[in-house]
Amino acid sequence: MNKMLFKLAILCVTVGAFAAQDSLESKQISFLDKVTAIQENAFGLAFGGTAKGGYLSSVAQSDQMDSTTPTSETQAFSQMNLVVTARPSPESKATVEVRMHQDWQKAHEQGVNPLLLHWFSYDGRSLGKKLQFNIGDMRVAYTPLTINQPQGEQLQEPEVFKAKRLEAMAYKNLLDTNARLMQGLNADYHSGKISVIDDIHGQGTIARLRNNGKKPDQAFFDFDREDRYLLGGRFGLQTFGANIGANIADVSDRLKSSLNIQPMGIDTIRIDKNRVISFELGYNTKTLVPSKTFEVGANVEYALSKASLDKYFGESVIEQGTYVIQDAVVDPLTGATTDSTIYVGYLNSKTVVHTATAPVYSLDGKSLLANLTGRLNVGEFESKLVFDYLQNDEKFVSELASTPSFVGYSPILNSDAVTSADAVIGKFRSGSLENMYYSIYQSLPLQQTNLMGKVSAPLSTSPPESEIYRLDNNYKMGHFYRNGYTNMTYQASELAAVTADMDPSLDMALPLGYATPDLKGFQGKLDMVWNNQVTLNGRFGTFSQTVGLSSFTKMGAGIGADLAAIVGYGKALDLQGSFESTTESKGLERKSTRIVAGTKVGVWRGLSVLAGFQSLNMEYGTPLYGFLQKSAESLILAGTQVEITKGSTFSAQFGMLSNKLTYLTAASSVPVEFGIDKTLIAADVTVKF
Amino acid sequence: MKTNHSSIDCIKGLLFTLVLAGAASASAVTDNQKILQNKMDSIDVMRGVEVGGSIRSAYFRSYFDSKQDLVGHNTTGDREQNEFVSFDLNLGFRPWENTKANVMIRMFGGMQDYFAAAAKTVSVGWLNIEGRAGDQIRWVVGDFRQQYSPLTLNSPELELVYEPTIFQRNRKMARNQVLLDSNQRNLQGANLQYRGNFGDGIGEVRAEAMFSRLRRVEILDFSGAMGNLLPNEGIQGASQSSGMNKFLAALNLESFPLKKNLMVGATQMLIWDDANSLVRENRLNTFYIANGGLAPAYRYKYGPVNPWDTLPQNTSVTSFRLGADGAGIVQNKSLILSFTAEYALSADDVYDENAVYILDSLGAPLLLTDGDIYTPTAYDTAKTLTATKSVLDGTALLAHLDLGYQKEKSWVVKVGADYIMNDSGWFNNLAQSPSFIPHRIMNSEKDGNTAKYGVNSPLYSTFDAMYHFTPKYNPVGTTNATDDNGMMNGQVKSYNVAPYSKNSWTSAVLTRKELALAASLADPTVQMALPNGLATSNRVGIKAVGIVGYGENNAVELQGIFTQLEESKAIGTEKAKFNEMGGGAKVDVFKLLGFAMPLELSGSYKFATRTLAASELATSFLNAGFYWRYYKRFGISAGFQQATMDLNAQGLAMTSGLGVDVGVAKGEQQQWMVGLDYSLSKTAWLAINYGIANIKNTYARVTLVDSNADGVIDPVTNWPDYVNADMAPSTTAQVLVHEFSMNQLEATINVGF
Repeated sequence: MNKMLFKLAILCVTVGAFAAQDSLESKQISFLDKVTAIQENAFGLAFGGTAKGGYLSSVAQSDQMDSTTPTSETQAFSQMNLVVTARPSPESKATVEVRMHQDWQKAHEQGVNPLLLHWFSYDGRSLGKKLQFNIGDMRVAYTPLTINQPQGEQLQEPEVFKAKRLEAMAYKNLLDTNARLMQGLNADYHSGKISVIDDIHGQGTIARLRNNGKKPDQAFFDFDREDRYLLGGRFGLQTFGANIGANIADVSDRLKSSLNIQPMGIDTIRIDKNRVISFELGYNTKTLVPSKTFEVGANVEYALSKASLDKYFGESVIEQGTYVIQDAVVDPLTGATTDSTIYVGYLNSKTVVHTATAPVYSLDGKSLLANLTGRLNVGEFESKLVFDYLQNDEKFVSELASTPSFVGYSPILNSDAVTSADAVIGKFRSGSLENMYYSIYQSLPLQQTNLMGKVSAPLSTSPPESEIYRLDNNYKMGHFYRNGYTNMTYQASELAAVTADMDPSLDMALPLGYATPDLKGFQGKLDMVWNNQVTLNGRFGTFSQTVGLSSFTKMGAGIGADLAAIVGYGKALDLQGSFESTTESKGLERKSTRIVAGTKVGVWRGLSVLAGFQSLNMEYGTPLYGFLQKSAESLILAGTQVEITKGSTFSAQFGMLSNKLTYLTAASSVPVEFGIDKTLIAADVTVKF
Repeated sequence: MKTNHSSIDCIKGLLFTLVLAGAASASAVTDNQKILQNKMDSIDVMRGVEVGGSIRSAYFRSYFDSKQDLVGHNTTGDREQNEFVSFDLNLGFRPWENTKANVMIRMFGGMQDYFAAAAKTVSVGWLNIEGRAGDQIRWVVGDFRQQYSPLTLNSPELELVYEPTIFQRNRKMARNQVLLDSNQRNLQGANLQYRGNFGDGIGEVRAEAMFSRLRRVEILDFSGAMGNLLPNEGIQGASQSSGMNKFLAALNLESFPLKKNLMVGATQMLIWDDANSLVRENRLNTFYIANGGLAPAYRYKYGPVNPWDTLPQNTSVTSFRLGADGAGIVQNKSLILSFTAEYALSADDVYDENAVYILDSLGAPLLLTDGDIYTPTAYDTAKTLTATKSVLDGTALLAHLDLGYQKEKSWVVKVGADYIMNDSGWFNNLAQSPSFIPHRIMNSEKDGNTAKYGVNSPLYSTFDAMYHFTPKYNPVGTTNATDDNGMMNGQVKSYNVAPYSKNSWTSAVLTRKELALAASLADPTVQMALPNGLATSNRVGIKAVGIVGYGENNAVELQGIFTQLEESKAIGTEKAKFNEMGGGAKVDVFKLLGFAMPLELSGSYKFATRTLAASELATSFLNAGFYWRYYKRFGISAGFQQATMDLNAQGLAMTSGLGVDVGVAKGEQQQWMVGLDYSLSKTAWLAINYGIANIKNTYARVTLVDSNADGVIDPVTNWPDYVNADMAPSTTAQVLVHEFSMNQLEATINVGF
């Protein structure tokens, strides 16, 4: 620590002298490097994290609510996310994140309330900081067509909403970035300038994406029958502003790992493979024509994918033999065997023979993504234009670039409530806005109803009741959440099926990001900033399917204003608003319309008022799942936030959440309406340490 | 962890300048600006980590013996031996001077669990955030402890006069294990406190508000040892599972004018269940299945989470307090003269519950049947539960007077007296929930299924319940199956398949039904007159303690206690009366003689009776203690305790209790223990003790029946299984005297850091 303080003192002197004679940006970068270096030299253990105590009440109202159902649900908890970092050397550090959660109750002494270890990584830099490595939990992004986490964009999302979305995502270890969460080993090398070469870049990644379930527990369905691995690599080179690169992401199941699961007679093993190879070519004017006024860049990525699904029959041949050991006593007179001891044993051996059948499918696809970026700064105006052209054939599959973080359709609030419409529209009852902004996290005694729901009776035959009831253990607790985000990667053969189960409201045209198959079209994104006080956003895109019938038109506009800077108000005074719409013509004939407005007003010292409004209307020309015609959702949130100290806040919020569904029933051809309103009261205190 | 402020200030200043500069020009430096801002926040934070905690390590070995198990009928092990370490690691993270996040991580290791990693647990025991605004406002969110007054918010403690140190230490450890601290109640929620000093005239003003969730919607197994007061009993109060959220909101105002010599205070508390949160669930219809039902439609019943507690609590408690320190007013430091009075009102929703059977056209109860059975059979009778709500009002009055005289560091004479007038309607579960619910601890496997009946279990001992605890006990199955089903079926039902925590001490806030059940399971030896503390309902009378002390810190002290209470309203035809009388003394011989090391002798005796008409229950409790620090931190301690209980014939005739078929007419318990210790402080020691507890119960005269003529008597629930097996049927009534002993060896380490 003393060493660090000494360096801090030296730094104060050197930076003070340095600050007077260089550009602001270089000052910042230099200073950041130095501060980072100081932090890196602070060896040993360091603690950080966030502690939170919170209350959330949701009272649901609906005409169709069952009379015996709970209308009120309350969360009351304290929680800590403890981040422990251990730095054995300046170049590397180990990070462990532990989540502790207590749901308030004093009814009885609860059993062991476990800590959840949800992040473990060892990260560092080597070879003169040219090689960066990650072991364990990590987030990796290659290119939009190879390894990428699609994140739907929402223009001018008010702060009051964004904070809730990021919190819900954080429970799944997701950040608001395009890096994909995985576990394994990642090494990333940048050479820096070598002669006329600006940078040589090489990267390699190995990750286990799924672990096969050694014990297929009846209560969890997320096990796989095979281990699934990623082998990824990329190579790139930059010179004179131009860049070329090649990337590969190869994902496959390991056939032999399926042997870990006991074969039950003849079983089917599915081996799912997906390989994507892409090539990049790009150019940016920044290197050869450095200018603060303008900058133009272009990048083209061409990708080839191969996806296949093979079925293997795992044939279990059980050989059973009997062996007998006789310890006989022979009568010397009669020759008869008497008093014999006979040991009987069974010799079992199992042989599993995998016989490959004809492949279920084998797809060779290709994709082209070209984007053009331009930046123009004139006077107080700064503008940035991004233009994407995308051409994906229907056979293009890139699973590591496909699964979005938001999938929705989960019951979040008032999940115990029962309505008469649940049998039909239960899946959509919570709605997109609730899924996007709310999540429930609990630490409860492990009980089958926590896993399967209190309302529906467990099946009496499958799984067996004896297996359900072994979960009746009050002393055993577990962490549970209800959350609309996912950090898993659907494998290629699952993608087609699960896409229909994903909430399309965030990006209907590109539900799987740039890797969405069977899509051709373009989109443009224009952002303009005036004096860092007013921001305008414009979005337009049109895509169409080649094999499928659908074509999409998306448009959006947003405005954000820092009124405090404009009128000279000493506190925050932000206004935001946006409108976005996507229309699908032909095909499923869907339409989404989103209107957003929000504000943040600083009142006194650390006291701010935050408010937000969002409405989302979905129309399904071809009824979704054969019955859902329309949904109309709205969310109003208003509250105050007090900053106690830096990073620590008190907040109290009031919200109204409404979801109206129009759907068809088998009994009537006339559409039926279902509406559910929720009144939300939330208060929490958060301390960052 | 300290940081050099000048260096920090310097770097903060530089960062701040750069951040502002970045804000002014925006564009390409915006990203850097954000990173700089983060760095600035990080450095600006005065990071500090506080580490503390406590270690409780114990070796408890108890060897059970009863000469009445003539042929070793009870085949469970005679010896229970527990060795464990419980390590509470307290971490406090203080990012700023006025905020702090605290977590207690409890690590537990059973020393015999070498091969079972799962037996070593890590748990979150305590988690909160606390802070302050200025010097006057403090707040806590998460776990906290709070006490207002004996009638409002309080955790009743047992009152033992001059309890020997050798025993007291174990009781402290058992209480620490469930995080009990004095009379404060453990809660989870938000607690806000204001302290303002307005000069000598107005004095200090305290304003406190709290919000807590006492119980969450939680589905619990009815057979588990945890979450059930009486596993598998299927009666009101047995299961602590809740179908509703239960909340507490409280406001407490106090003022201490005249240099804190006067006190006026008021408290308002609301305790309510959120009826709109009532959850139902599907539970296996064991009644139907046990009767051979096969139809899937009936295999599960959709009903309340806790069928025995379905109606919402709605309680209001209002309290007013007044107090004065007469000695302070007249500024006489020798005089002891203080008076406080508290008057509290409660209003609680109570329900008259009725099971109304659905009748068929002939007036017979309609039966649930299914078509799969040839002969229609009753699997469960169709019924609806109706309840009529009314509001039960109650009042409680507690007046306390301290009167005495003292000469500082020389002698003291004082009397403290309480006048209690709590009517039968008085209800406040935040003050009445006891911290001691007696359990069977050591050798509990000997009891089999009767272990759950606690005080009514045939092998129960007050000393065992008070002084022993095992944080995680792994019961041995009667079959050694390895699959879950086998484990479940092989367990005695009172604690199911689970490893569980054996401890009589609890911080739970009970419901009205649970309180009633807990009262019927209270140990009369230590919980007779006021089982729920000074807030016990239906009591009128006085309770007084007189103390005479001599020397510095009362090196010689005499104490007398007297309690005379009666019910304010008779439950039956007559009111029960409670009398307690006793006294004790302690003396630090060496201190009197001028030595630095202590040599303490202590002793006390208390006699208590409860009379109801002609029935009388009499108990006595005797303590004798010895403690000698013979060399630096090394000491020798010894203790003797004796508890007796006598119930006369009229009392026995009225006996009916949970798990009781034949009442106990006379109970005698004795235990002695000697040990060596190494003491660092009152809360940190290492001790090795050995002792024996002998228990002798004389049961009521009873005729033993063999109704199915198999040569074995109809078993008596509260007799040990070996007694039931050995007793022969009789035509005349006979008396059973049952004796057993527990041979105890203990080694404990208790260290706080």
